[in-house]
Amino acid sequence: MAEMTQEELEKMTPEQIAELQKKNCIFCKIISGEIPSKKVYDDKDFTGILDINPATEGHILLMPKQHIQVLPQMNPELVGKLGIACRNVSQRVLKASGAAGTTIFLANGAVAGQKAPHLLVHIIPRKENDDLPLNPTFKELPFTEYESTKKAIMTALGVAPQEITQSQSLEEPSNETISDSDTEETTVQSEPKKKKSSDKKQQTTKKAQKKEDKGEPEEEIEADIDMIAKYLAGQ
Amino acid sequence: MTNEIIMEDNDIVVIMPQNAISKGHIIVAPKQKYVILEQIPDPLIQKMFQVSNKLSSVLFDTMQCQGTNILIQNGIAAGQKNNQFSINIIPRFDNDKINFEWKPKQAAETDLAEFQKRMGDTDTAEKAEKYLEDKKNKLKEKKDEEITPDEDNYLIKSLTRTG
Repeated sequence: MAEMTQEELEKMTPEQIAELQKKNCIFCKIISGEIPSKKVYDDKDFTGILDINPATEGHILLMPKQHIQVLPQMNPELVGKLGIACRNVSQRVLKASGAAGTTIFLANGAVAGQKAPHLLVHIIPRKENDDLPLNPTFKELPFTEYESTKKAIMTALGVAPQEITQSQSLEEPSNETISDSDTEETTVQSEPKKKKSSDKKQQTTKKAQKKEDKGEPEEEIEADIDMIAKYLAGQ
Repeated sequence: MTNEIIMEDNDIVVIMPQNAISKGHIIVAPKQKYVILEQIPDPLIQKMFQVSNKLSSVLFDTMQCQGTNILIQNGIAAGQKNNQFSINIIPRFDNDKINFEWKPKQAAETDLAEFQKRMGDTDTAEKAEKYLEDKKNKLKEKKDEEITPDEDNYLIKSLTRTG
């Protein structure tokens, strides 16, 4: 296979290239057992091995048995199962390593740090101050930039807030019982009112969340460590 | 105050924070209180992963990013900042100044073997799970069996009585 010429490669169909990639995939060979590895997890769909070049002790590579390169290629059912497998492996590695947490890291694409042609989920046991570059810092995004990105994403998701179009504002009065007078003015008034109330609703949910999130930081941290300690003790 | 929630249903909430790792950073979190991954029940973690993958695809389409990261910070040591479990989806671009690249170490064969042992033999771990699952199912079946004849008996008895 290594003797393939550029010309031969160009003649191949995408399916043939995929087949070739699969044949040459180190991770497929690891899964099949052709290449030896330290397996620590194995179910119908996924295999977990110890990374021979770990970030920390107990670093696990969890991979689909099917040759899949990036997560968007995976069918939703399997993506769901991947979630369960990640949780189960994390659970076991916490127990085995005595770590204070795990980072679960997945890269789609080379710019994201993907190095293998086979989808790998890194499950990395973490200790306080282990100096891994996996605790990114958060920064406040410029408002307009943030708003435009959010709008684009929401539009793509089909959940963008509806802009008031001419036809809608004309339809509006018929929905609400409005006395004769100036319909246009009522529409303009009712619109922001509506928005406000929904904003308020979401603000309260957010507030409730923030309360939990930001409450008293010290207690928070304790609770978290407690949770893991309790969890570990319970095993 | 900006509204950061972009989507929600009964189980999960999708947030686009203004205080973010980068532009386009999305967070998926359960509505119910769960602090760490290990607490999340099967259906919820399935859904959260599926939604995360969908959002990652949406980022590819709308932001034309060249990659995405899915990052779970499970525990304070992993950088978890909130008292709530969440999944981060981060769009990636060339030279975006985000660096998640750790320095790989060289693990000694003996250390790996030792850790593998600590993780438990995969076979036995899988077998243990399967054993428990089978046992559960058997108990369930047994219960079902016990209940049905009893009900039948009761029905038959009451029928014979009225008859």
